[in-house]
Parts: sequence; C-alpha cells; structure tokens
Amino acid sequence: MDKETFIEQLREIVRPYAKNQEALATINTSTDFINDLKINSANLVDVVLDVEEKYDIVIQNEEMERMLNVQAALDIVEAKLNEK
Amino acid sequence: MIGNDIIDLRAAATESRIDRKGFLEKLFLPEEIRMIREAATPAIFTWLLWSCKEAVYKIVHRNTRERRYAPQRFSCQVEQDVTSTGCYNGIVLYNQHTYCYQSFITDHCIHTYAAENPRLIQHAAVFTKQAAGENYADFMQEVLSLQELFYKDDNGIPYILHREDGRSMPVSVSHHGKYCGIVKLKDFGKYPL
Repeated sequence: MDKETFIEQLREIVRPYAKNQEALATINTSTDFINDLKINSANLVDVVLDVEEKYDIVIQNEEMERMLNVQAALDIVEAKLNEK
Repeated sequence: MIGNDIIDLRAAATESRIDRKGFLEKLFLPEEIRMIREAATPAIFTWLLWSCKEAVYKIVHRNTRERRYAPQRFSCQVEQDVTSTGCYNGIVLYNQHTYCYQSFITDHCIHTYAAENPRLIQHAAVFTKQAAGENYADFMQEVLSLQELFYKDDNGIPYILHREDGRSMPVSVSHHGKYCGIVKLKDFGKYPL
C-alpha cells in the first residue's frame, strides 16, 4: 500500500473524531492526532480500534503508545501488513 | 506537581461508545474493567477511572516531557467511594510511583485532580466552571490574582508567573465539552515541588 492511499484511508477513519477540520483537509505524515487534529485523547483509542478493523490487524499496547501521529500509524500498519 | 482532568459526561456520551468491542480492554487493566462492570453506573465509573489516568498523565508529561498513549501503564485504585456526596479519592500507580487523586462528580461533570504526594493535594486550589468550549481565558482571569500571569512554555505546558518575584509555578488546565477545570496551588510559592 502506498503512502498516499494510506493517508486518504486514515483521513476517513479520523474524520468523525477530528475537531480541527482545516488540519484534516491538509493531513500529512507529520500530522499529530491530538495537537493538530484536536482528537480527544479518549477518542484516540477509537482511531486505534478503527485502524485494527480496517486492516484486520492487532495493535499491541507498546505500538499504541507511540501512535500519536500519521507517520507512526503508517509505520505500525505497514509493519503489521508485512508480517501477514 | 499537580494535574487535573475534566469530563463533560453529556459530551462523553455522544463522543465515545464505551461498549464498543475493545474500548475498555485497550484503555483499562483487567482489575479496572472488573470494577467498571461491578459499578452501579458503569459509564460514570469508566470516565472516573479515565479522568484519573489523564490527571496523572499530565503530571508525568510535565516531569518527563515525553508523550505516550499508554493508559494501561496507569493503575487506578479507588480507596474511598463516598457515592452519596459524589466524592472519590484514591491512588494511581505509574512506573513504581504512587500518585493520589480526588474526584468529584456532579450530574454532568467529573473533575479529578492529582498530585505527586498527599501533602501537595491538600494545597491544591480547584476551580470548576461550565464554560464555553476551549475559550477558558476569562475563567483563567477569574482564578488568577492580580500578581499572577498565565503562560505556556514551548511544550505547551501551562504555568503561572508571579509578577513580583518572577517565579513560575505549575497550573493544570483541562477542558471538555462545556466544562473547564483549573488546578493551581494555594499560597503561591510556599510549597517546594
């Protein structure tokens, strides 16, 4: 999966939780879920769960710890898909 | 060090589905999930425990400057459950350190504040307000004395600067939905952190 495809898919995943629509429009690998998209920390777990469902993967706690931005999410999902 | 977290229960009810598969399991430890399931009001208990983790996370983040989404590293214990008054207190364990917290719950709001030790929490000045969204500037002005100036450092961590002696002290700000919570220390400057 290429980076652009992933970012587009992630944009749709985070859309319901993002309070900053401008940051959502310009989402990129350096976008921070909490600081930029203003996703509530209690909703970050929904992003993790939605990503798990979308890609049929299981994200471990140690991975979730660093899943604070788009690049980290991309790295985690890519690694998981490569394991398959 | 002090930290606080506020939860607008009506906003939480619309923003989160705590009964979705995996929600509790990712955020809470098995013992915490047991407490939630056995609680008279599981939803309120869920947010009570979440607010404890968040309040202590703010202390840890202030100390370490490290950001992590690791809610299961924070282990919550409720020591006193005074349900009739809506007041709770207890401890949160994180990285072999014990933090203490106090919470009060009204119909639509949970406000939890935490400190690194029991002595410090007695000196916390706690303010809760039903305010408009993230616009807490007016509320902050109500809370500050004339000698105090609110600012955030490069990491976005909030402080109060005392104009007369130039010293800075930590202050914790939390907002969610219609509510805003602020915790600072009483008698500015008396308590070494």
